[in-house]
Amino acid sequence: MKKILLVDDSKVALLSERLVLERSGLYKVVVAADGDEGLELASAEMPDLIVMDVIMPTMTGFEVCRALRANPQTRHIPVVLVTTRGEPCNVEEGYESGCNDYATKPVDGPELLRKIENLIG
Amino acid sequence: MDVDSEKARFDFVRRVQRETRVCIDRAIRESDRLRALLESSEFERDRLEKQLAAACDERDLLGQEVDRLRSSLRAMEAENEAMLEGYANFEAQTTNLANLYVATYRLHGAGDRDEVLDVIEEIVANLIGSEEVAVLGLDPATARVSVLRAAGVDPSTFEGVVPGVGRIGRALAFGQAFVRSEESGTDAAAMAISEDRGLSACIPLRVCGGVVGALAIYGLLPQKPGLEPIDHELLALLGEQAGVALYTASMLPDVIHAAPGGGGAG
Repeated sequence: MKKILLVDDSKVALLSERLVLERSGLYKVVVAADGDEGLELASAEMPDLIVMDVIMPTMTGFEVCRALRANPQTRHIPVVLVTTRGEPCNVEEGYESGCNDYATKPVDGPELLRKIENLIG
Repeated sequence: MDVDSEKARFDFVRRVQRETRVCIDRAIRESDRLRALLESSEFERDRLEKQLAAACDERDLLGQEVDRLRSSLRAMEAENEAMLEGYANFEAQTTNLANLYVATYRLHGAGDRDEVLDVIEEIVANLIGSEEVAVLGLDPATARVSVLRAAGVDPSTFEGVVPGVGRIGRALAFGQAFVRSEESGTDAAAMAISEDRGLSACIPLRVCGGVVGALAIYGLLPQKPGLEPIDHELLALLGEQAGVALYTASMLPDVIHAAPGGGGAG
């Protein structure tokens, strides 16, 4: 079973996305409540993919994504950024930070699963 | 006529007769050969015509089979499409149910009033799709309206809220919910009331049937074109559960304080 790391400061978002992923029966989920914990867990757990919120305290999703890409140990891990802001400029910044795909809130469960499937299916 | 010339004529006639017979014999043999060839060709033609007729019959049968298979394929494709649609609907419903569960679980899992307000804000942002939200409280005794939380909206917007007047006022006074739809349009009365401008939804927050506040949601996220049926369900759930969660959370410190080993035990 593939492992997915969810990083979001919102417990509502974490629980909602966790339910979507675990209910699919395809993924084991690990959660982090902010960017720092996300970076720690990414190195410790070596997930197959990371689903991460953009706007978080201490470190934004973009910053975490850049840090992941700068670390040889985690640079290969695909990242799906989740944001409330789906405007092209934000999406562009996301891709520049090294994310592989983008999802907007409110997260559409089946669409998120399709995006994950495309990256690690 | 001399004897020699007579003999020569006779020889000539005999030679012509011999050669003519040879030619006739050859012609007869050729005729027989051609007749046999003709008969054989006619036989072959009959055989090929029969074979062609059989092939045509087979082609017709295969054509019918192809039509039947195509029709069967179309039926299977339609069935497959219906199943996929059914599966997608099922998935969407399950996701919606999961979101309702998440909302209820988080609302009632919050430890204090601020956390309940955080959860309401998170539910609106993450599950409904708006970052412009306000939670208003109503003191039933004095009918005083207070702003418990305003995110993405200026709290002063609500300074003029009068219970019974406007969409927010009606939610507070009469428990009337408002959810913008295409039919809502822009009515002049609503535009005249500052706090109602740009309102996407306003639902009363209830405790035991009484209204204790209201949840007002303004602009939706750019990628969210409008409120969907699941949003209506989430709003209804918030209306019923958020007020109770706020009320319960406000009582928690007293309960904890009074409990053995709690803050009050000293």
